[in-house]
Amino acid sequence: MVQEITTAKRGLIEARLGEVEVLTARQVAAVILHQQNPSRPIDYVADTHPTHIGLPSHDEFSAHIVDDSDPVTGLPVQWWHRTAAIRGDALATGPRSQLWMLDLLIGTDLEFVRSISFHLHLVPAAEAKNAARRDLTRDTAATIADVEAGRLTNDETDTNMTAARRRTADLSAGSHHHGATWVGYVTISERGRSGLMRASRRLEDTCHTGLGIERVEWLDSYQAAASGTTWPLARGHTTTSTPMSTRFYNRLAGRSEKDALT
Amino acid sequence: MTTTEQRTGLWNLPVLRNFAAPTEIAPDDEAGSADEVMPWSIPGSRLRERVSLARRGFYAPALAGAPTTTRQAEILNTAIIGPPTGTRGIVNGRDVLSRTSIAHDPVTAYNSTPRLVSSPNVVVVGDVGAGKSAYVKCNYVLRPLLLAKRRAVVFDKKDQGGEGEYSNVVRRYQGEPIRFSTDGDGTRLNLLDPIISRGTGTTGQTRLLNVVTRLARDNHTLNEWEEEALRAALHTTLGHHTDTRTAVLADVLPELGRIADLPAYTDLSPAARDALHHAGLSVRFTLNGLLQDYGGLLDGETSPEVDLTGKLTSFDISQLPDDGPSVPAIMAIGHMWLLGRLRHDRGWATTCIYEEGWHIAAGPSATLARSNQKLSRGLALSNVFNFHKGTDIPPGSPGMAMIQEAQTVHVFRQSRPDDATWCQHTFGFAPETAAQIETLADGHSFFKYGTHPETLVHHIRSPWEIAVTNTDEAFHAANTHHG
Repeated sequence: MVQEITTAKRGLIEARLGEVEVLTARQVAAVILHQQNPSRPIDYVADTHPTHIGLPSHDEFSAHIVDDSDPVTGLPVQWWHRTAAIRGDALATGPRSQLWMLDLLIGTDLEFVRSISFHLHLVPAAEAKNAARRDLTRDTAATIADVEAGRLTNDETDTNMTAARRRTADLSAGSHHHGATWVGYVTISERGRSGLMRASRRLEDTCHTGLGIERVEWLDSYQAAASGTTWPLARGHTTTSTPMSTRFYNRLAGRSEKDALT
Repeated sequence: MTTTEQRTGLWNLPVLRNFAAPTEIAPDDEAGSADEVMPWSIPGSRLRERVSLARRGFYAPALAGAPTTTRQAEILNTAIIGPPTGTRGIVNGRDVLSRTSIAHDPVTAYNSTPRLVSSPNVVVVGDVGAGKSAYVKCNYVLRPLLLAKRRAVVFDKKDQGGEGEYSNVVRRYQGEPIRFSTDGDGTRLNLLDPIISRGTGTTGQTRLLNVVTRLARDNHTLNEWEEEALRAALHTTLGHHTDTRTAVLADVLPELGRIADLPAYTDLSPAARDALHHAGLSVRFTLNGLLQDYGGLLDGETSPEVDLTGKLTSFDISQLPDDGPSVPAIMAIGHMWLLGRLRHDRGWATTCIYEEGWHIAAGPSATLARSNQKLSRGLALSNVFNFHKGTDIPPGSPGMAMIQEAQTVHVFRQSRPDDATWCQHTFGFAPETAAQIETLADGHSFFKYGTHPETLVHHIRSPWEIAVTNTDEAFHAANTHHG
């Protein structure tokens, strides 16, 4: 574990991600508690325990409501949270720079508390390349079919084809890049129902105009569970299932758990 | 784990077993130590009963991701606006992008393990009035002086009401600025002060004399005859004054005329001796001219008030003329004197600020300062060079090398595109910063330390600091008077 932590820290420093500090289990618990009750300071670790990370809450259809107290003043506080997913197909196509999320991260017109998380799942290059090639073949076939039938080609097919082609280029042999799948979540936190309503509208607005996210997908009906997707936990992203052919070839090649050295 | 009791036969029947009461589960005693968390010790019922439902996102969101590659996924990194520095050191200002505080101090960064910077030197560049002077005053003088075993020495060039701008600050630290002026009643610095040779030896002293002569000649280098003459004259002078009074610059002048007769040169041909004599005379005339013009500065022994008095020492050179060799000469002598002085006063970290540091970083003194880099580090001396623009520094010169070696850089507004591009190239900033440097607001600067990418910093001062660091008093006074 110590070795893993040191390796991860060194990797982040080498990626020049500013100053890297490793949080202890209690500090992580404090962060999660702070996300549920932003009245708690983020580094308030005095009364935390690594296994006690939840606060009592109840749900409404589109809100997760936490009742707690402000540890500084001792007064009761209530926080309303709502989480939305940002999915790949909701993103408008176009070149993006590293700072495309700036409006959401530090935007001066967003006064509410927000947490943003992106979950990445790495896919080995060979598998990702196959998937990209499959997508490309399918979209090319669709285009050819459209042309032969005398129809206008679908915009979306074109866009998808460009994306698949770019992925194939990134994964070309010797590029040292791998495939990945991603999904993003954003949680907004406000003090009450009307505040949360306003914040939801502002978030949709900012995402649409500033970030080029055409729609945010509110995870209504299970907001309490959805809140966890923006906590420092790996929640909310399913792994891609390995294709049957890959499983078959792996079996043939003896690359199964049964054959591994343990 | 083991079940404490087995179900009775009836409850094992196909339909009835669904309605059976759950069996109690007791943890194994040997499994897990005291600090290990076991699922059954957590209060509450198990929420995600069915694995297949959980996998399909019935209990909580579990969305399938969109395909991408690691190259394209770089833009999903939200940490690019994370705090660029840690919390160690001195709070300098606020990062404009992430709005977190920027904390940096060259001495702390140099001392930390692993070392964050490989050189404690600092370069500050910017137009007049861009907030450079207030920044240096706060972050390299006022704030570090609050720390233990820290002190600052300032070569104070900016005039404020007839004296240097740091004078008021020095008085707050119960000191008095060391004033230099050309009218004869100011402080004197002796080129041949024994403290200088204590720091860098006779070699350092010869080099210093060489540099001052060059400065007096408007940066024309000495030829080898002249260098030899100067070296011989200095040795003879120092040999004569070993036990009596301290040698001064005026003592070297007569020796310069007599060196051709020294026993060391008896084997030279008459023509060569003649040439050496001429070279000696030419240096003598240069130094004579210097003493005539700046007698009150360089003629005589070092004044007794020249010393490191406390936490803050100021060499007030604001009353010296801008042109001519006096400012760079005092800076060069002061720098060498400081190295000698610090050798006997270890255990402190000293920040030395060169206002208009162009003189020391780019003129003839650059060779001097560069050759003393190692000694500076050994004496825990951090040099801060403060100048307006860098385009005057010739590429490939020792001054340029010294600037590139500095590991902490602050760039304020540079309204000329040339100067802005120079900064971007020299300090290795991202290409788009050049345009930004031209339009930086007052108090905003690009900050870079070590190999970290540059960040845009907004300098924030407390009301007390604003009062202390305000350098526009003259205009404010005029404004109040008229109003």
